[in-house]
Amino acid sequence: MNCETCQLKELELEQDEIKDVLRCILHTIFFHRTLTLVRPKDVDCDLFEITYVQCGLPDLEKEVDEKINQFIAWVEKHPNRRSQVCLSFFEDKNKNPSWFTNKTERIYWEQWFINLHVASPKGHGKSRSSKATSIGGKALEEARSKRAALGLLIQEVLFQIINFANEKKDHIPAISDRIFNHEISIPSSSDSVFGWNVDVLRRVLNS
Amino acid sequence: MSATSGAAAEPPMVEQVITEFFAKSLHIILESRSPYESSRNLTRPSPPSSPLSGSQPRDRWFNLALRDCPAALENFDLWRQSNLEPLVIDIVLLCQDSTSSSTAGCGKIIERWIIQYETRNFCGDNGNGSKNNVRKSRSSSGEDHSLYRATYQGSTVLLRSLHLVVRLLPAYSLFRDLNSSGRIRPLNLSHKISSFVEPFTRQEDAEMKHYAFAPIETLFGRLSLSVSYVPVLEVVAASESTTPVPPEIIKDYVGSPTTDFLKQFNSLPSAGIAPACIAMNRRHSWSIEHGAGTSVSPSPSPTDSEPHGSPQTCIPLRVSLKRGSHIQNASPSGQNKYTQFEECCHPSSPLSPSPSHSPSGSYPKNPLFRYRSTPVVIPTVKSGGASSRLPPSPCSKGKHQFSSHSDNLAPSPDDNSNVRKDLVSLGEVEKDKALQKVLSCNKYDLGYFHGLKLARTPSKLFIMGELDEHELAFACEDKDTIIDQLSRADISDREEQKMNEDAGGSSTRSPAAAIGALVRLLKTAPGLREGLQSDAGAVVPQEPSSVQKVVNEEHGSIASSSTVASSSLLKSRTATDALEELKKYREIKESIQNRRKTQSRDTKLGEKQTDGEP
Repeated sequence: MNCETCQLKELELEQDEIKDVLRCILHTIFFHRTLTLVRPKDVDCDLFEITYVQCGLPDLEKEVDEKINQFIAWVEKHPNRRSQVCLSFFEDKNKNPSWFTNKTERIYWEQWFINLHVASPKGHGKSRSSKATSIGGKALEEARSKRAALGLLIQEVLFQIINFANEKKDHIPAISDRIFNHEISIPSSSDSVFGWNVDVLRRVLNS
Repeated sequence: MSATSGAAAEPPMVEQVITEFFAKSLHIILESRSPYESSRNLTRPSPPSSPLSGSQPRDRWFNLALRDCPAALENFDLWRQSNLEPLVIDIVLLCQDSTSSSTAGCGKIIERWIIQYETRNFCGDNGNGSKNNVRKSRSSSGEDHSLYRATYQGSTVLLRSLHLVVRLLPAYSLFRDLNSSGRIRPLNLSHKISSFVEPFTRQEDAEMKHYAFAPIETLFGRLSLSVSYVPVLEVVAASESTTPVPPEIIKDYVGSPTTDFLKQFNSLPSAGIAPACIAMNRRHSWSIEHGAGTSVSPSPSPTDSEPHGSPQTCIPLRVSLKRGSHIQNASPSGQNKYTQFEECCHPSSPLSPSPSHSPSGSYPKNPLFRYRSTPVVIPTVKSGGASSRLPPSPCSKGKHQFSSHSDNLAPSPDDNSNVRKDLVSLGEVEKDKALQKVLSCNKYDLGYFHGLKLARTPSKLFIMGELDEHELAFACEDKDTIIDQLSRADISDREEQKMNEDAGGSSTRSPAAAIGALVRLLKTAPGLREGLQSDAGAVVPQEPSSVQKVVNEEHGSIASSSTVASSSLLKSRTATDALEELKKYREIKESIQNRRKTQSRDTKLGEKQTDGEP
């Protein structure tokens, strides 16, 4: 089975936007790949004028939020860097079952790479704290236009997900009564400069 | 429902998937585009009328449970003849005429959804021709099942994409606004379902953007879904506008210098507020063109009931009421409007101090105005210190500088102390009565003090005269300040016999008379410096600095007020006024002091001579 990969457009964002952006993107992917019975839940982004859809599964929401928090913690330690969050879907298959071993192998059938460039918020903080009216107004205007541009980019990413999810369907396993096995990989401290997870890279090369 | 004769028929299971796909698509689209349809909470799904439907309830088809069941679905199976007919759903924006209750009016198609099943014969698709030929040759049930699974799975994913896309298009925000607000609006969303595609006009076609989902290949054809939409909805959001703030309200709250103030402010919306409103209208005028910039509706009105709860609609109101001095400073550039907007959303942010207005420039040419405001404007800070403040008393030394007044304000000689104490006691009694009357008023009550109409709000006391309430209305922030000011005015009255009548004046005197009395009172009042003598923190040796210190103390006492801007403006204005008044007081005081000095000297000399005589 081939592993289909989708590299999403890189998004430049600030630290306080990470949660909103990642929630939107991750839940959109899950909504397209959770083919079990779902009762969709509309969610409005906090910072952008975008309404996305969640599967309405509390466990999944909790898992996504935990991973996002871990990613934010990593970003705080590694500011102003490009990074990736990878959502992988896999199947567990028994590899060479024998009397003594019952090794299972993960076979990834789809991977989504969310490319982010988290900018440092220090410059904006100074401008916002400035008491001068003109400087504060300029900074605010820049922030608003930047956020608007990011909102458009997020929509482009969502359409990218929609296009990919509908064009590549043949590799999806049969619908079962539970959601597909998945994992959300975030950069770890030992990763390289670009925050690539070494394990993810190995899997991509092997697929 | 099955394919027409002449075309190869899909397996029954696939046929059923196609049928349910049409129904589900209609359900998803109408749920997010038909405001009144989707408000119906029909928890029980309508039973499928098609004999081919399985045991699965219709709303759970494709594992997508949708709660609402639009009325259009109830008869969907009845009027739909064949899967080969396209399903065309037009979303129409209706502009209702306010005079008529009917939906007659302009109607514009803002979205067109086309769902259709095209057989292989018609679509002429060659991309997957080889695959389909292979499929055609297989007729085993196993293959049918795999075909069914592939079609069903593909439809499941596609319908999820549809569920998302309907929320990303501009019409969704309009739908949400119409659905959330129960008000009758001039705009409405309607839909039209048909089985033929009515071509757009050239203008409409040029305006529309198109998006097509990836089709679902079946054995003998394919399912396709596409949408044509207007990327920019020029929706007038005036229907959602907040209650406009009449300028009269603003004038009532702002004193005379704000006459020019208001003129400047009125010019602001065209330059300062509108761009912010345009930014707020982003949700209604929205382009999702890939890489396209945000299309902004030219609608200038602020929106209300934003799904995100933003407080943007309050900009004109909040800015006009609270940020008077800041508006004064704002230039009609784009930069300052955001600062105003920011301050609206963050009302706790401190205001920048406004430049003090030149009294000669901005004040009306009313000689009485200055005198009216003075006694209330120059406060003392000490809370509860009204009783300890000594009335202005004649000083033993007659010096022209304020620096000398410190000596005069020093603990007085015995000859003045008794007079002072009497005046204090008198002042206290009378002051308490009058102050009680004023301060015991309920919120927004009117009271009278010395013939002046006083209006009280929880935080402010407004003194209004008959002649020009706009000029006279100003705020006293601190209760103690009010007490002190009124007490000083009260005590000053008793200094002169002529003023006693005024001091004891009834509240029924006309404001003009009261103003005249107050003017006389101020003219003949002894120096303010003596009134501040008992105030421990208010002893200031220097003449200019003492006034400034009083003003500074006033600033310090009301620094935490939410109307710092207006009070600072008043302070700067009245401080200037106060300085001028003090100069006059000084002259008057010096004359009185000289008079008393000579009198006291004569008295002393007379006593000495009496005592010293052998």
